[in-house]
Amino acid sequence: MSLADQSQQWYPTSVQVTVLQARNLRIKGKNGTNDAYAIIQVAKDKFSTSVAEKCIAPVWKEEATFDLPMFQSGNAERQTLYVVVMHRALVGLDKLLGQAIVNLLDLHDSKSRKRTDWYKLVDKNGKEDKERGEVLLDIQFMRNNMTASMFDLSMQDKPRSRLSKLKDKVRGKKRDGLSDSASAVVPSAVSQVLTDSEEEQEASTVSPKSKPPSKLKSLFAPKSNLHRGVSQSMSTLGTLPEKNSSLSSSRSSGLNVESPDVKRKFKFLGHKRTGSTDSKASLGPFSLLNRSKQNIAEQNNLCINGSHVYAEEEEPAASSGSMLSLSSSAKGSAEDLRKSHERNASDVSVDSFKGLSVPTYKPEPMERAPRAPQLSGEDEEKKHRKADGRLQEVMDRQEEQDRRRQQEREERLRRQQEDQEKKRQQEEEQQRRRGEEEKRKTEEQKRHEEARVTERLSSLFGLGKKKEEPHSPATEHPTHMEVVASSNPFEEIPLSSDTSPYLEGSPANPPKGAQSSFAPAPPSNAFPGRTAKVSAVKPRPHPVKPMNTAENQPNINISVVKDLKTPTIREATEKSKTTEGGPFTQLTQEELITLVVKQQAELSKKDSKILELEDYIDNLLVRVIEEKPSILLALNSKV
Amino acid sequence: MGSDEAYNFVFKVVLIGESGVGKSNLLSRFTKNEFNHDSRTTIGVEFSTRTMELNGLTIKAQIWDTAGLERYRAITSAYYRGAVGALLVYDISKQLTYESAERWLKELYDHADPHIVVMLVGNKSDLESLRAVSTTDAKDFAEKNGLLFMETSALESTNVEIAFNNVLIEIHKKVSSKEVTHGSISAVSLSNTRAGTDDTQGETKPCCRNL
Repeated sequence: MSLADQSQQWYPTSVQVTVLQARNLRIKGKNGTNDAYAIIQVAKDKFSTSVAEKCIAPVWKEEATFDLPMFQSGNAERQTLYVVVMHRALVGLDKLLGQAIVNLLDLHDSKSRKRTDWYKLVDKNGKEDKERGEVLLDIQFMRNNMTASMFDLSMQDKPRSRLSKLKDKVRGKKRDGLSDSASAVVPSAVSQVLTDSEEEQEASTVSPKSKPPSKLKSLFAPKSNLHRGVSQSMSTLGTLPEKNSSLSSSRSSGLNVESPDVKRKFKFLGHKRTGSTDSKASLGPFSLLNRSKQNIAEQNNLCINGSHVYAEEEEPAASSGSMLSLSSSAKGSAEDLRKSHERNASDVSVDSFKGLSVPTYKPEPMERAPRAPQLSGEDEEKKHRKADGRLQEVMDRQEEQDRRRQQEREERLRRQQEDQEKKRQQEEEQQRRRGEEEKRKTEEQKRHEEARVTERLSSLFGLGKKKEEPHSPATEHPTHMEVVASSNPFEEIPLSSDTSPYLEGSPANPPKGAQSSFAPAPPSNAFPGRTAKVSAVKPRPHPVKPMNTAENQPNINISVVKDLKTPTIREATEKSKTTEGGPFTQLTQEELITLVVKQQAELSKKDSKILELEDYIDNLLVRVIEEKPSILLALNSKV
Repeated sequence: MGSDEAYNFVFKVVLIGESGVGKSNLLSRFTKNEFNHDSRTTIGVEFSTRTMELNGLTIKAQIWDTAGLERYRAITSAYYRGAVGALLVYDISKQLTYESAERWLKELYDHADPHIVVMLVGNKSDLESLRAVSTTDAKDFAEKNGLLFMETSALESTNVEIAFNNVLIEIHKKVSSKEVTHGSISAVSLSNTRAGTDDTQGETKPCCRNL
């Protein structure tokens, strides 16, 4: 059943808006370019893209998802999408370049519409005053295809800490990383990821009724697409067994485990994965889908940081990421999706492997690799076993829920809420990630120290790894340590915990200040290529930063957000003190704005002081001129 | 210097024009025959003098220099007060400095004596390759506004002497002429003891004014 068909039968519960790019914008910046960003708004939910600097045709590829409660109620304002394209001004207010106003109801009704289309920009009053260019939007309506198991999970989620949820997110990202350059880092992970997301896509497009069967099918068909995907990607790099993928993915997801709840969840997920197709159950398929797209950017960053090799692949990866989402939206049927996905997946993986190129795989990672994987391997097996029972349970519940769901609107609302929460989680994730990235960068410089840290981490986060252990206990060979090692172990470390391990783990670490020089990595790190890339990182399709997070977040979350934020900010400030390169590169826009405002205030204070002094001097001069001008005779000049 | 002991006139001449056009270097070239390649923006107000002979008269040129004032300051009127000559300087390689000449002219006439002798000076004529203001345009503008005109190069010392001399001569002409004598324009002498020492010329007295 295609998405379009679905939407005829079911009201969409949310809309996913991807701001791809803009063109023919008016130029408000210097040098004939703009520092453009877009604000995406439906009702009171607002998201902002990153700023595409110095360009005339910005490309963002960033998306946001909005809930559409009571979509058909005719409440026009709530069903209107605003995409406001702004130019970020260094001083003063940002300038409006134009906005696209889209009536989602109309859009939804029009069957002929293209999913991805150019929308004309108008002025702030919604009038066409002059040529303002247009913006390319991908708009897809979605339903929350939540199954019973998902529902249950959502209940489970409640008591969990925000942080742990975030971690789930991280995990999700990892898997999605598939198409990404991440693959280069963790080749096996790529394949795993591919399969995962494939499943997810499938799941998302399958109609609720058909879901359970398909799920079962895949469950009992071990040689599902999933495996195909793996083998495809594997083919290029024959040496990498599936094992690796599981290891790496488990690594990513396993980190940050803190509460028992979380653990449970992780187990659950891991189990599903082993079961092969059931990723649906773990999280809303759509959200997963979204996430996969969104997270690519971050993933890229990770990879970049982890190893210079991959940075190059960002582009292809990103495009494939968006292609995935596009294709999923464009083609409703699971079959199509699967195909296209596979295609993409294989392409991507091949690409990334190419990019990987043997020489880049230095022996260095190998050395440190060995221990972590072993640890996780054993645990994973255990985990796997436990999880099996769980899977059955979940599936039963799911079926039940499927039936119920169609009539109960209440639940839908609940799901929406959950979705929202997920969104928020993503946002927080991002914030956290930012902090992590900084950390990672500094760590690059100490790559040789990483081996030790890896070990530490693996013991620290061993639990998480176990859960994730996917398909095959059989695949458990130490063969792939290098892969694991190459995936930067720090990527997933939560801010709170990462400082200490680093310090301990790497005695060679320079003092904090030196570490934090993030921007251009010093040549000393022996990966000059990487450093360049780091600074070149481009905003990618990733979750858009929320403008009003606090507004709709439960209280619990807020506190967590704060927790997350503080370290980031602290780090940022630390950096600004210690780095010469770009002390402000790591600050968020808000922080930068605050900074600018502060400095402006300072400047104007100084200005007024200068004026006062000038006036004072002037008055003195006037008196001098009138009383005794000879004083003003230039020095050295003869009278 | 011997000449400062005896002079017939003290003429106050002001340099005006946008910041960076080379006023200070014109001054130092004229009074000290110096040129400073990396001179800073002028702060405050100062003047230099040079005494010269014109038509048998000893004339002390007191040339005032200040920053290109961008806003009205208390100093503005004091700066112009008593000036009998002005060099309105622009940079021939910078169109904007020329375009602002009109504004400067207005300020000048707002604060200075209406009979003040004004010369439009296109400085930096050594930057011929970067010329942004055509000589004819400037000349036309000068004629239209009753200004003297000259292009100079403080760097190469081109026309600097001539420019100042022409202004001084013109001032002297006005001062000497009867109508001016009875008019408001006056040669300015500083309130120093020497002012009157050499007052052999009858015309000096009526037009001298002690500050």
